[in-house]
Amino acid sequence: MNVKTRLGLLILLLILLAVPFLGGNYMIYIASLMIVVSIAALGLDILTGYAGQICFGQAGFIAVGAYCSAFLMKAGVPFWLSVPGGGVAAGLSGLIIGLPALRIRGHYLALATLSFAYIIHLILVHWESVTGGPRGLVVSRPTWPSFFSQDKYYYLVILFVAIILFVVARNIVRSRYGRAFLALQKDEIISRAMGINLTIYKTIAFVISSFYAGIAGGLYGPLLGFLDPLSFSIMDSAFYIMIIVIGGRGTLYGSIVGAAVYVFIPELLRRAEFFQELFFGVIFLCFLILMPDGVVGFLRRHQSSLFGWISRTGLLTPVERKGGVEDGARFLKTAPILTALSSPSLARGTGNELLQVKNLSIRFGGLMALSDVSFHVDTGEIFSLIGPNGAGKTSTLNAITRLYEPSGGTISFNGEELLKLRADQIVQKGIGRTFQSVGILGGLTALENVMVGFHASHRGSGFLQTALGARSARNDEAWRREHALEMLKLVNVEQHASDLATDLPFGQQKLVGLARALACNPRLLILDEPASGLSPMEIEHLTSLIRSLCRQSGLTILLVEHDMNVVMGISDRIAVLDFGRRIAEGNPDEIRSNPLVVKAYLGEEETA
Amino acid sequence: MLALLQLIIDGTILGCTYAVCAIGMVLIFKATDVVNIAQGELMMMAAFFAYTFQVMLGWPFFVSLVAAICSTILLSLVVERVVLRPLMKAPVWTSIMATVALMVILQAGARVTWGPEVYHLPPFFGSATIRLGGINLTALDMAILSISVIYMLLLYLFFKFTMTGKAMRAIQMDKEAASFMGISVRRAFSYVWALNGILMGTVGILLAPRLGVHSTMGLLMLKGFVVAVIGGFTSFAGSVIGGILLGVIETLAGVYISSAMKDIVSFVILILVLIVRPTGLFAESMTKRV
Repeated sequence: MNVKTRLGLLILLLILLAVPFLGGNYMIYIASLMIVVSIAALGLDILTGYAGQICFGQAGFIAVGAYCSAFLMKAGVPFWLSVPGGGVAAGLSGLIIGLPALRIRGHYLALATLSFAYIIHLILVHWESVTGGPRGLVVSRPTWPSFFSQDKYYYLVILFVAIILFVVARNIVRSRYGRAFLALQKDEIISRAMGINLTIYKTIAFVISSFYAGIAGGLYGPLLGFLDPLSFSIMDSAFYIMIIVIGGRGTLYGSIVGAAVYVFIPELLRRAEFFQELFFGVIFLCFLILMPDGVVGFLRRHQSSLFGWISRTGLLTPVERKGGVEDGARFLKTAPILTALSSPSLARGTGNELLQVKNLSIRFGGLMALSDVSFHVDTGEIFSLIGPNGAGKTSTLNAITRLYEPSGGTISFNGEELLKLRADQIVQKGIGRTFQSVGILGGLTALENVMVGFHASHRGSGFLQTALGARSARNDEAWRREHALEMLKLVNVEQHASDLATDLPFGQQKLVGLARALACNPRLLILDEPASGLSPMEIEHLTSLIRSLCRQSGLTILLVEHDMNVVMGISDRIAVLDFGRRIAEGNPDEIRSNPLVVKAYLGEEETA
Repeated sequence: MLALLQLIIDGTILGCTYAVCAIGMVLIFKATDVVNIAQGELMMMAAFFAYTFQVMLGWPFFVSLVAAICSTILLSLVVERVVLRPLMKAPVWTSIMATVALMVILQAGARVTWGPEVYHLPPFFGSATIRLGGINLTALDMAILSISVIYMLLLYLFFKFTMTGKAMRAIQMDKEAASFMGISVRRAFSYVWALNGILMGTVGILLAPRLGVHSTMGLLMLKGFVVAVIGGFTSFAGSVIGGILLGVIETLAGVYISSAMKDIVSFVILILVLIVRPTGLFAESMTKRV
C-alpha cells in the first residue's frame, strides 16, 4: 500500500468516525445501516465479482445470521460471541447449499440460492413458535459494556467490524486465493490446467460470502432492535446483486458505493415511498446496459481524465494490481534464471520412460477422434506429435491433462496412472501445458497470468494467514511476483508485465501462456502449437528457449506443432498421427523420408 | 383411495402450469443461454391484464382473455427488444441480472399501478364441476389440463415440422453455424420471447381466478425453476414429467404433512436433485469441447 492510498483511506475513515459526533440520531442510523449493508455486499462481491458465481440469496444468508445470533443472545451468549456465531451459522448454510450447486454451471447456483432464500423466508414466516413469524423477533443491543447499547457507540462497533472485514477481504482478493477466484471466473478450463480445484475454490468464495452476510445479519438485528421476515424477501436478495453491480463488480470499494446508493435513495424519495423499488430497479437496469462496470469501475477507467486528484490518492487503483514491475525488479537483480525450475531430482537423458500412453482411444459420440494410439516420452527428450488437421493431436494432449475422458487405454506418468486423477491434480504431478488457442485469462495482467501458474507449484501460506495479512503471506506473494517476472523475462515479454494480457499481440499472449506453464514448475512441459501466430524472430527465440529448457534445465517436452522447421529442428523423436491413428514414429530423418507420412500430408499421388 | 386419486389429479393439474412455465424457461435458455428470473412476473402481469380488461373495463370474457395474452406477448417482445437485445454481446450473467431487474421493476411497477391489494377474477365458466367416477373437476381444471396438453403438442409439432421451428433448433445447437446458414439469430430471440409470452400469458390468466391477482403472485413460478432444474434445463419432456411430478408431490405433502410444507418441499427436492444428480433427471448429454 503506498502513501497516497493510505492517505485516501485515512480521510474516508475520519469521515466515517466523525458521523456519530456530527450527525443526529437519524443520520447515525442511516450510516449504520449503510455499513451493515456494505458488509453483506462485500462478501457477495468476492463471490460474484471475483469468483464470478451469481448468488441470488444473500438476504437468506443475512437472515440465517440475524436469527441465529438473536437466538444465541436469547440463550445468554454475549453479543461479542453471538455475532460471529451468526456468521459461522450462515457460512455453514452456505457450505451446505454451495457444495452441490457449485459443481455445475453458474445458473444452477443462482437458482439454488434463490430457492434457499425463499425457503428461509417461508421458515421465518411459518415457524412462529421459534421465529415469532410475521410478528417478528425482538433483539437486544450488547449489554456489556453498557454504553455500547447507545446508537452512537453501536455505530462505532459496526464500523470497527466493517473495517476488519474490509481489510480481510482485501487481503484475500490480493492473494493466491483472489487470483484463483478471478481465474476460474475467466476460464474454468485454464484454471483446472493450472491446478485450481474449481469446486473447492468456488465453495471457499461461497462460504466467505455467506459468512459476511451472517455477520451483517448479526449486526443488523441489534441495530433495528427487531427482526421481521419481510426484511429478508427474495426482493432483498435481488437488491444485493444490484448493489454490487451499481457500485462496481469485483472492486470491493464498489460494495460501499452501492450500499450508499441503496440506503440513500429511499431518503431522497421519502415523499414518493411507493416508487423506491421501481426506481432502484430502473437505475440498476440503466447501469447494466450503459455502465456495466458500475460507479467504481467507471471512475477507474476514466480516472486520469475525470478525477486527477482522486486518482492521486490511489483509492481507485485496482486492488489486485498494486506493486507491479518495480517490486519484482528489486528482487530480480541477483536471481539466476530458472531457479524455480531447477530440481535436483532431475537427471537428464536417462532414457527411462516419463510418460507412457498405451492404446488410447477417444470417442465423441459416433466419431473416433483417436483410436488405439500408443507412444512414450523419455525423460529429457523433446518429443513431437504431428499430423494433419483433425488427426487427434490436441485430443491426445487433452486426454493426458484429463480435460477429455478417453474411452479406452491407459496413460501413466512417472509410473503413476493419470486417468485416476482430476484435471486440477495433473499439474501437481509435474505436467504443465499451454493451449492451442490463446489460453490467456482476460482481465488479468500478463504478470498476474503467470502468477496463476504458481497456484499449485508454490502454495505458501494457508488461508487464515493470508486473510489476516500475515508477513509470511506477503512474502510469499512477493516471491510469486518476483519469479513470475523471471518467467516473463525468459520468454521476452517482461516489458509488458503490467499490461492486460489480452491487450498484447497474439504471439506475445502465447508466450505469456508459455511463461505461465513454466511457473507450474513442470517436469513435462506440454506445448500445443506454441509457434503459431509468432513472428519469425519470435519463433527463433522460442526454438532456442525450448531447446535450452530441455538441454540445460532438464525439462521433458511434448510438442504439438505445425511449423515443420521447428519440429524437425528441435525434436529428438516424432510420432505422426493421421485420422486418429499413429502411422509412424522415429527421429526427424526417418519421419521425413517415411512414405506414409508424405502421403498423409500431401495426399496419395494419382496414377494416371 | 378415491381421495388420493383426487389429490393426484389436482397435483397433476397444478403441475401442468409448472411444466408450461418450465418449458418457457427452457425455450429461452436453449436459444439465448439466459435464465429468465422474471418468468413469474410475466405471469403476474398477464393476470393483471386480464383483471383490467375483464373487471375494470368490463370487456367480454373471451375478448379480455385474448387481449391479456396479446398484451403479455407484447410485453415479452418489448422486454426482449429494450432490455435483452442491447445485452446480446455482453456476458450472459449481465442478461441474467437484467431479468432480475425486470423481476423487481415489474413487481414494483404492478404495485405502483394497481396497488398492493389482492384482486379477484370470477371463476371461468362459472363454478360448474364435472364428476368422473367420484373425481371432481372444475371447468377451470379441465381448461388448464387441456390447454397445457394442447400447448405441449403444438410446440412439439412446431419444432419438429415447421421451418421456423427447425431454424430455432439449429440456433440452440450452434448460433454461429446457424447464422452462417442464413438464420437470423435476432429474429429467433424475438420468437422465443414471443412464445414464452404466449405460455406465461396463458398460465397467468388460467391461474388468476385460483390465486387471486396480486403483485407477488409471480413467486409461485419459482417452482418453474425447480422443474426446469429437475428436467435438466434442456429437455422439454423433462419439464413436462418434472412439472407433473412436482405438482403431485407438493399437493400430497401439503395434505399429508402440513400446509406449510407444500411450498418448502419443492425447494428441498431442488436441492436434493442438485446433490444427487446435478445435471437433472432428464438432461441431454453435453460434452464441452476444448
